[in-house]
Amino acid sequence: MNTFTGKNVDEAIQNALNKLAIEKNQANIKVIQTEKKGFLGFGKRDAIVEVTVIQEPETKTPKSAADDQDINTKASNAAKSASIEFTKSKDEEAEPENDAEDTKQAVTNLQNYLDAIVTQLSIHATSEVVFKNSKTIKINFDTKEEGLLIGKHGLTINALQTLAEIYLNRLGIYHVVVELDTANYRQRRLDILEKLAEKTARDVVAEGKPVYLDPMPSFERKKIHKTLENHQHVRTYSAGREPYRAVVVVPK
Amino acid sequence: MTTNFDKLIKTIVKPLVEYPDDITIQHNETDRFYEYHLKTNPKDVGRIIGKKGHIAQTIRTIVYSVRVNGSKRVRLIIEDGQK
Repeated sequence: MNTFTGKNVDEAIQNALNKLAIEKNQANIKVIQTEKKGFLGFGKRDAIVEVTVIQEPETKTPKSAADDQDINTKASNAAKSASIEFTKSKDEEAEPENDAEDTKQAVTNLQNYLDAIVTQLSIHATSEVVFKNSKTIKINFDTKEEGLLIGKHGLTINALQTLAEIYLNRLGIYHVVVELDTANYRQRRLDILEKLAEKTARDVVAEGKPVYLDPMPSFERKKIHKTLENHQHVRTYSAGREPYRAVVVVPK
Repeated sequence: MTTNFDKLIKTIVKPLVEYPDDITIQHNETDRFYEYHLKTNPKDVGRIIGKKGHIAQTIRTIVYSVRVNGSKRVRLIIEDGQK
């Protein structure tokens, strides 16, 4: 049994092919373990593949160009039949589809899904999708009852945003950030957070004691960290577990 | 328009599960709560609860955001077969 490792499946296969000095179509590749990125180096693991050489009976020796042609077609056939067996769990089988068409279709489904929920919440709203970049989708709701949709400190709209990502994951689309917005709420919130960060920094410097802010979702904490990253007298970190994770501002 | 909680919960949950037809909701009224007992196919329980109740919490937040007349509050209970 020949097993090879690499940072990802492709690299592992490449390693194996280099070691055995064979082409991909001559190899019988079996993925034993797919890679995991992990987080901050924890839970990281390499990909492992098992590669065995397919023994092809040599029936012909290439003499002429015609024969070469024959070998080539044979090779491509072999490539087709090179069996790559994935021993993956069912959920992993739904590969992240980078196909733009698929994502578009999924986003349309998502929009209908969110519209249905919002209607059920007895909020009259019309939604509009904007593709900010390949990883970020912004859905903007136009409604008169924005307060209901946002909830206390964005409770409802953040929950819907999380649900939107869960829904996309269910459709097999990962690593896409969905941002829900209504009446420019996100931008207003960022401005408020910036002021809050500066005010807190002043308080911390005056008091000389650490200050815990209210729990916030990650993208709001990020704004606080970013605002104070170059501050001369305070530094920031986050403490606690989601969803009660909060920014702490401490004097340097 | 008063919100139909059954319909709302089903709208949220159905696309997230593998067996949408197995979803049933039972009502129960106590002196403090309107309780909605959500039952799914045993294989789907994990899908609507999520890691550390992540998804369940999200669903509850949305369901609870609806205004209800009177002093009673809404409660969503996910039946996971454990008592």
